[in-house]
Amino acid sequence: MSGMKLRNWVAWMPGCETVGAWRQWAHTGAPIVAGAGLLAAPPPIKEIPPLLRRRAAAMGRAALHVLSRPELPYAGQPIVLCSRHGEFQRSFDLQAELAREGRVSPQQFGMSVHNATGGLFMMAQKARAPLTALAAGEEGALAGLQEACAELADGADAVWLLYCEEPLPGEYRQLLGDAAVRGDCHFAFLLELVSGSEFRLAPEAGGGEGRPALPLDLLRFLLRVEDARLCLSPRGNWTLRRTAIAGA
Amino acid sequence: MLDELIREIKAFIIETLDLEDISPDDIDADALLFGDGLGLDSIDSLELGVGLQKRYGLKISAEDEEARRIFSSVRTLATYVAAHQTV
Repeated sequence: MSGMKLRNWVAWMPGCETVGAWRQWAHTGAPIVAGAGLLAAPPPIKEIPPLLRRRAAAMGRAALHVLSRPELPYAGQPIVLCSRHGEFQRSFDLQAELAREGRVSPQQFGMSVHNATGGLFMMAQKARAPLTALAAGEEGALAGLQEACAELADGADAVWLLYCEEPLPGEYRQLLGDAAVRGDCHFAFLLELVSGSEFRLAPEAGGGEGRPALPLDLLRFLLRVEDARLCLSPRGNWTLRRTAIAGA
Repeated sequence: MLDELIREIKAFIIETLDLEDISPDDIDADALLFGDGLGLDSIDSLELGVGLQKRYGLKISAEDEEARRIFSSVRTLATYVAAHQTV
């Protein structure tokens, strides 16, 4: 059993870029992909030096944007970056380039590892904190929380848990069902978690059924104080339960 | 002639390395490309090596002792390209 408190959060999705817009999204029951236009321009990331930010693609730019908000300054916490597919368009283009030309761009290849986006942020910050990059299929929301709890249990005062995704290349989109299940819309959100008793992550008997909760399901739950529990994974009944009102 | 190639190499570097917010006029032909000058890194040197092969048919090995001198600045690179380009 692990207890935690959500101390702060920042989120970005095309058409949903302010706290007010996100609260409305959470409370109106809008579809999980609301506003997540596939071709929307990525957010500006002027806070990251040009020589670093040039290497970020769509997902990376969304991620760096939420990591660099002045209202939530970085203070050296461990970072857990959680993305099911990562910057998959880049990997797809690399494969096409390899097939076409027999060689690939070293820069693109270097950025095609899962922790590269977090690495850009750490380099910009000149930080040496632990950075974990996770890809946990449909159970990414759960895996990210478990990793964040592990960091807190290991003694971190706070942990930054980042979820981010970009749309899959068209060739792959049809293989993974509808967008809500694929979780491939364009978004990034950052949770600053500390130890506490606001939420409890634990297996609960009869936890749930259906599909695992996606990262945006998790954000919606966190923003809806009237919701008592979220089944993160029917397998193992992992559940996030709201045990106290924020700020209480 | 070399001035023209210098302009071309600047544009080639910007395009090959996705240098945001930098125009050819911002690059001093005699400034260091790596480290203190333009601030490029080792991945950029590999990328430029691949790009030079594609664009100019030039193969410069990373082990080549000359590589460090050739990649020193836009001017040294342009001088090398002018003397050796095959396409």
